[in-house]
Amino acid sequence: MKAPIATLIAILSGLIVLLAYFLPIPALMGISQLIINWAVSLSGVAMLVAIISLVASHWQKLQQKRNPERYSILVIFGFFLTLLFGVVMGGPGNPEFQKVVTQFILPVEAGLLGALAAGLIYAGMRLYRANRGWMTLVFGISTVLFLLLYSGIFTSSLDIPIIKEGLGILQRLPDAGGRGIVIGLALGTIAAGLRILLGVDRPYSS
Amino acid sequence: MTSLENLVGLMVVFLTAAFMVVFALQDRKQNLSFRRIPALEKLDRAVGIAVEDGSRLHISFGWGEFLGFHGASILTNTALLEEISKRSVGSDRPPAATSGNGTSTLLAVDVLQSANRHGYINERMDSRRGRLAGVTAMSYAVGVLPALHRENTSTMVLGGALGAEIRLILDAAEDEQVQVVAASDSLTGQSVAFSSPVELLIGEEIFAVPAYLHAGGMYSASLLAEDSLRWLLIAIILLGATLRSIGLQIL
Repeated sequence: MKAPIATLIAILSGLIVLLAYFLPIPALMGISQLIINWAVSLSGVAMLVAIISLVASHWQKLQQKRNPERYSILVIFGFFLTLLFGVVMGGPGNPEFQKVVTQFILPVEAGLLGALAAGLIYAGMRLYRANRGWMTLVFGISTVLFLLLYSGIFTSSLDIPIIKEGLGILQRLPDAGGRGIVIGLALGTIAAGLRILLGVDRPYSS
Repeated sequence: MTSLENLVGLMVVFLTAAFMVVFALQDRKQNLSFRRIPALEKLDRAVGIAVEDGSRLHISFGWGEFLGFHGASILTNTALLEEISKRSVGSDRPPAATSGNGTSTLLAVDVLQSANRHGYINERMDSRRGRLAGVTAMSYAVGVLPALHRENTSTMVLGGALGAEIRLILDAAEDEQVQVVAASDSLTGQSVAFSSPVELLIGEEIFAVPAYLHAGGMYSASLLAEDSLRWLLIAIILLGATLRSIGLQIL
């Protein structure tokens, strides 16, 4: 069997957290909270390891013999500069440090958002290229329809009860569709969790 | 939560487990069959082609937190990465993965190292194969782009949490002629990908990937359990709506 001890720990921890969620037994809830706290702490450590791995991967990219990625030097330089500032200014909780970091991040992300907006408009104009048959037409019509509906131009000018009812039903359609997709995702999530609890899915090495 | 909600929740969990066990037993007798999902058929073919032509498959785990809503899609991507790694025996360029979260990065690296130990991956493992791309939505999307431009990627699976920023990756993939299977667990990401000429998985289809790649009988069983539960839920919703419309309110 693949990693029997790790599998046993995963199954037991999962069962305790699941049962504590549904059955409000104080002892079970206490153990569950402890396990969740450990998981949160471990995920913090995992992030630290991942950040070290990020720097290591850029260092390797910079050193590779064929096509070294010269831009990686910017990532490494930026990382160590931010780290140095963070240490000197007293950590990420310092408002001045947050201000300096935000002054760098905001313009970059705003620029990317601008590029994204242009990309989305361009994709909308070339919707036919998605080649999804009659669904392309449905998607295009509903995009225009709901843009008009949510802009509010119908609500102010039309005061006829039957039209208002019809518009109300139309406005609920995206919510209904969204809920349908979210229910499907929730069922998938339950099944994924159960695969861990049954010891079938073991995303840890043997 | 009230005690009735707790009870219903527990019942759904037990019912799903029961369905999974029943379908797993059925799968042992005869292989379970599924409906056609063109995106997954193309992914199945792309895995073989990548091994043959020496190109790379890239799995994007998204930037979502593992300890939350996106955990299930991260687990699905882990199973997908494991299956693709197994199928990449003899490939010059084994699969790579990027993620936007510490835990999922470690999971991806662990899967790749495990595949390396078992001899599925011949290439020496280093931190470039499984790496953190960025921790926010935008930084993650930008961090994935080098995988399209410089790593000889032929197919990319965009799974996990990816919202509107998926557009930036899709544009770059189109420029580099990289085949994309979009499997975002975000409604926004799915609708943005819908408007692009890529293979798309909608809703719970994202959890079907390991089953369609024949990763194991239990994946097929859990997929059929999801389908059965969905039909059950549809029946309950319709029944509830009918009863309410005639003036009967049970709950």
